[in-house]
Amino acid sequence: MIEIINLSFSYSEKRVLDDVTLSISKGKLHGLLGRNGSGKSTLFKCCLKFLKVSDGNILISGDDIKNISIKELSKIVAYLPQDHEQSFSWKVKEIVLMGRTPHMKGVFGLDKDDYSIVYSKLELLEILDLADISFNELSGGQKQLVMIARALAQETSIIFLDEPTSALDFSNQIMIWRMLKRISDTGITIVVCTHDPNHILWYCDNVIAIDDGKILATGDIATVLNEDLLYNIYKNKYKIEVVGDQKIIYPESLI
Amino acid sequence: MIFKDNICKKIFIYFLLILLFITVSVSLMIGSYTVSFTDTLSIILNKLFSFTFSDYSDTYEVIVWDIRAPRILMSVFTGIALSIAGVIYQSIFRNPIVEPYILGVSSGAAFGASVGILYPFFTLGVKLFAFIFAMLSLTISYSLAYRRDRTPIVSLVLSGIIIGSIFTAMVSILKYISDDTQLREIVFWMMGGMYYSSWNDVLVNGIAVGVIFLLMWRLSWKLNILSMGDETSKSLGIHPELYKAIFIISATFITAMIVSTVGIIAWVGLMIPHMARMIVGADNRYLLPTASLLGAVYIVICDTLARVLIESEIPIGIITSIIGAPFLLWLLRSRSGKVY
Repeated sequence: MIEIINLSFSYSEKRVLDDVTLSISKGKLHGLLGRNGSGKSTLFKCCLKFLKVSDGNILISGDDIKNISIKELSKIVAYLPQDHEQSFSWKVKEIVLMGRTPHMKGVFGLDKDDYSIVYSKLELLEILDLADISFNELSGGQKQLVMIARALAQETSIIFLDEPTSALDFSNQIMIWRMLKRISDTGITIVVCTHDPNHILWYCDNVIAIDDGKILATGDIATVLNEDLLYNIYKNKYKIEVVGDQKIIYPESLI
Repeated sequence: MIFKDNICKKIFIYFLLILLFITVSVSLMIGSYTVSFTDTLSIILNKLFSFTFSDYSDTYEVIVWDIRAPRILMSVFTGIALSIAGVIYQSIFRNPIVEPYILGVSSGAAFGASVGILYPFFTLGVKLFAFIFAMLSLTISYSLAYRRDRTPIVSLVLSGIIIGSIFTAMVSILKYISDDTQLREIVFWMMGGMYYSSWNDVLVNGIAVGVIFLLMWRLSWKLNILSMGDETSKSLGIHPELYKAIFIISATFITAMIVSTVGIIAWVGLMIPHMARMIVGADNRYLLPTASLLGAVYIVICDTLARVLIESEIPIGIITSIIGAPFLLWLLRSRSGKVY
């Protein structure tokens, strides 16, 4: 459970988060929706202690993150950045092994259990056959799965993902969302920042809508994600309709 | 269960250790005078444990123990130091083509050492000035690039180039105002060479390089994480600014030590880490020892070539440049821009 209380943040003069109060419930798949520059990434960065919060509080399971060291925080929250190009030729298994860093002990910090965990997470995500392949040679979807495996190897109760499907083709986007749904069903809290409201509609339990640094709405998909909210976020009219047994969001006018 | 290929990497490191031993032995034997294996071994055992089994001449003892041994050991430490510095700079700056010169560190060290040569106030003055100015150039480059808890790589490289060229210009000023003997010394020292190496140099540099190597190896997993970038490091519980500082200061320290003793030996810090990465991959737990040993073997071979190729001696910096520069070209072309 993450509680954000009266959080404000400014870069120099520009106020990016304005008195944000928010509660993120445990074990669910949360979608963070907002336009470019609405404060989504800044919210993530505050929760991960990448940015120093001076105004407001962020509590994780009741503890203020100001009192949690980054080492301790890395055992509770995992993070998948949007960009993960590697300068060097790392093997997939080595990348996933890095997820064990918060749990390091001993001289070089890693023991046999850490290696076993790497293989079990690769197996869980059905990419065990990629273990010995160079990360830079993978397709976009495979890379994203490897990064998810790294986050899982961290064995945290919360995972933040920054636009995990933005550079993927349609089938890979759906594949990643299915995987995230499966992971959240195991009790891990997942917060995903995305630009596609359909993905949130199809896969998430909850939505957090943010605009201009303020929270517009938050709650479960069925009650909160409606046409009015979409208008408030994107300032354009969108329709939500049932097609077959799925709902779908589309723009009211194509021109 | 550990990764099976890690066992092969360990075996390869042992192989390099043996290779280094062979290279050093051969290098002790060959030169203007060839000393037999039995005599060489006997001289070393006699010096170390007062135990001898062959009747060698005193001249051979001077050649092997006083002339060749210190410069060969100095070559070993030079190879280790420059390779470690290369591995560290490349990982920290997440750029496979940076080398110890990119931050202006070497130019700073060169300027400091030149000041030491020009104004010999006290012993170890050359080393001390080299380290002070290497750290100074690093601090200036780093603080110029530092913005809001972050140090963007592009700013760092740019400020490094600026600081480097300022110190290079200042070395030229020193050359201009120095007298003939000093000028000769500065120029010859800057070309790089092991010929001045004494047992004292070996001891001082050996301790410095040994301590830094052990510390860096101990922290090598953290270096892996730092090469993933600041945000990933933080999200994995590694404080990027703190550990970057430890790594950069250590690499700069040994670079300054080596530059002030043997002059500027170019390309090693770029070429050796690349070769090592091609063999054992990017994991610094294996890369650091592999690159160190490979660097040591390479410098010992280059220095031996410098001694034996022609009658008088070629500065080793010229040999490493002649081999190193085409190597980078080959590396870039053969892998169509995809660098390890």
